[in-house]
Amino acid sequence: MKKTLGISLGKTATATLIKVAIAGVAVMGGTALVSSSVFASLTATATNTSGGSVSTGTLSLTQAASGVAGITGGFTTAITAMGPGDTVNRYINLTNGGTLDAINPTLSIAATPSNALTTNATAGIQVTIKNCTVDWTAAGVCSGTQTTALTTTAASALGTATALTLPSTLAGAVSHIQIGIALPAGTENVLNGVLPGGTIQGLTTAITWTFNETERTGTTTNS
Amino acid sequence: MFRSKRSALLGFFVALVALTPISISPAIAAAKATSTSPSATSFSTGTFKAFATATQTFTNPLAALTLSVTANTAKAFYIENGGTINQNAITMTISLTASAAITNVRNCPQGVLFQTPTTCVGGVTLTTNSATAGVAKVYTMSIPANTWYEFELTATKNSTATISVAVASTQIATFTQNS
Repeated sequence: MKKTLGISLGKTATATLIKVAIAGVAVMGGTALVSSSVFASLTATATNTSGGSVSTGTLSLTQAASGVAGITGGFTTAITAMGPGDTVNRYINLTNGGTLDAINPTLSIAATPSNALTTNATAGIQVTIKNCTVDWTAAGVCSGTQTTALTTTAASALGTATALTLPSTLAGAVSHIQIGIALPAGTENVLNGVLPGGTIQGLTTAITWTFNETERTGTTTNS
Repeated sequence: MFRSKRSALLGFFVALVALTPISISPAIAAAKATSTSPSATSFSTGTFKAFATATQTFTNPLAALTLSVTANTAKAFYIENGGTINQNAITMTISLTASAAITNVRNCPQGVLFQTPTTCVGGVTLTTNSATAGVAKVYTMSIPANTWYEFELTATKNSTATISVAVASTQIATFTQNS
């Protein structure tokens, strides 16, 4: 009898234990061999042979002064010596020249310097925008269908983008708009050549006009 | 570790919130197109100023005109548009001292002087207006910017006349322009 670690085993038991140990090592080795092997799988690929082209559209908004003789002043020609009750109409063509339809057209203005012309909601500049389906005549007449894009709004309120109602902002659509720039009749009284306090007279500002439009709502197409 | 169950609970929730992954939805921005005017529109307003002067100079007195008037003798003065806006009318008030009354107020056409107290240069027709001292009277006449009218005042007594001229925004010439 052999005595190991204080455990007494017979010869037969010892031999059995050795066999089990060898078998265990063999199993573990085999497992390691298997797990380190490279397995190649079969794959199949299908590729379209034509088409599949994906392109994006464009969104483009441009403005240009009317080309009708007599009303080509646009935004670049100065407006001078206006008085209460006066109105100057300017004519602009707004074009969605992209390939995407647009929505939510807006207008905002910025004025420098800021003075009563663009801060006084009552006596300051008032803006009205009308749309015509065709070019306006030099006399300010719409021979097509006329609609109101912006009801009379004080310039003081146009510092933030304000919605315009245009008949169409589809791709390629042109809006022929008349922009009425007016001063209300007012109640100023000048006595002996002395201008009243807070007068609207003798002021100057420069107005930048910005039109915006947004891409039409995204679409999901099953085709 | 915690002074109370409430503190422990609070600590638990704070830790829970701090460690919870925050899910941020990706922003889907629709394309926008902007068109800004190629240059700013220069915008200016004019002025409407009318005043009375003893001589025709276009110098704004910024005050009423004071004249010494001799009884029954025409005294000339000028009404001038020293602004940049055309006017369709003015409101003039002539006050007299010494209880004097206004006999008449005459004027020649725009830019025409009196030749005599009762005639205009070139024989053009003058206009005779009735007026009451101290009472505002509207004179409807076209007074383009930088033009003038000569007036004459005749009173019943020697007195001092104070002539005030007012222009209201309703008395200016307005326009609608397509350009």
